[in-house]
Amino acid sequence: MRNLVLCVVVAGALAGGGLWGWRALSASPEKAIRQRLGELARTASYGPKEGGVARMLDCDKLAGFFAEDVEVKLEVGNVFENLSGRENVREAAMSARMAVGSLKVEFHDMNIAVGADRQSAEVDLTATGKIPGEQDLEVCELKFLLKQIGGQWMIRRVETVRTLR
Amino acid sequence: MATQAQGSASLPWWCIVLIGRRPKRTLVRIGVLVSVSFVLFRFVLAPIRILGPSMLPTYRKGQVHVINRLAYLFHEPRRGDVVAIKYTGEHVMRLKRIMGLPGETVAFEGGCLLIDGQRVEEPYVLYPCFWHKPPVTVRFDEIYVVGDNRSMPREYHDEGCAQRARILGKLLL
Repeated sequence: MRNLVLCVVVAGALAGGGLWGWRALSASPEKAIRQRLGELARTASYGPKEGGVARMLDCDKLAGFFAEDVEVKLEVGNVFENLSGRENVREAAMSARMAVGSLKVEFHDMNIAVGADRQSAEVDLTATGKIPGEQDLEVCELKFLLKQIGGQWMIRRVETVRTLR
Repeated sequence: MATQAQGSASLPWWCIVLIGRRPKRTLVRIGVLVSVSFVLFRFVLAPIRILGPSMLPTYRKGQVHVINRLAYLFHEPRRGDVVAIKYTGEHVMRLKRIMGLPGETVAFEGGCLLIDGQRVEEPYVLYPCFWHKPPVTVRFDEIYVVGDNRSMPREYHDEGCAQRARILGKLLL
């Protein structure tokens, strides 16, 4: 009886471990993209007590989400940004952090469409930006084009979708 | 009856408090309640909490309201309806009032709303408005929406033609 229980426990542990390993190794592109964009939102957020070095490192990390030849066309509130290239994105992130004391970015309702080649994907999502202390929440719909480069999902294009004409 | 009385008497008091005198019936009630709530909030109603100032003074920040998803099942949106407009999903939405219907021309002149050149009375707009906007024709798959708070410059207020497909439903409560 004891042996039987031991066998059942070991078999259960092996099955659980196998399932966990299989899920970890064969993560679907949708899941990987969701995680990647969630990480992007966390990196784009920052607090008021960020030091100069931390700010620079964070901006480098943020730029690491974008491909070398990225194109960014943003229209948030009355701010219009047209950027090309990863270095310009990094500089814009630095300027934004100098201008605005703190920011909390969140992405909601991601709709992910992975291409037939499974190497590119289009993502529509709702982005919210909140500046602590201010009443209004900035909201916009964004369309991302991602490409798998060197095993990572990199952003090739970001643009604001105009929901009201 | 005697069996039921005996059954409930044998249960400890805390059990009666938690699951009632007839556990099977309680279980059925819980099942029905969960099912009805799921169907109601998945397919019929959507609770929303207001965050911005664009619908002031009619709807204030922090208020909780309910959207009826089935409002436009049998008829088209009407002028004056307050509707929730989706972005890419239902976590964040706009709450606006429908002012222009498909095929109509919408304009603002000296703060007054003009539909097809005719002035429209808006009793819910209580703050002063000085907007000017040239006429815009609403396409057949669109509606024209605007908030009740027009005291801010028009550039800071989200208004315009929204796709009909983006309407989640009409404000119910």
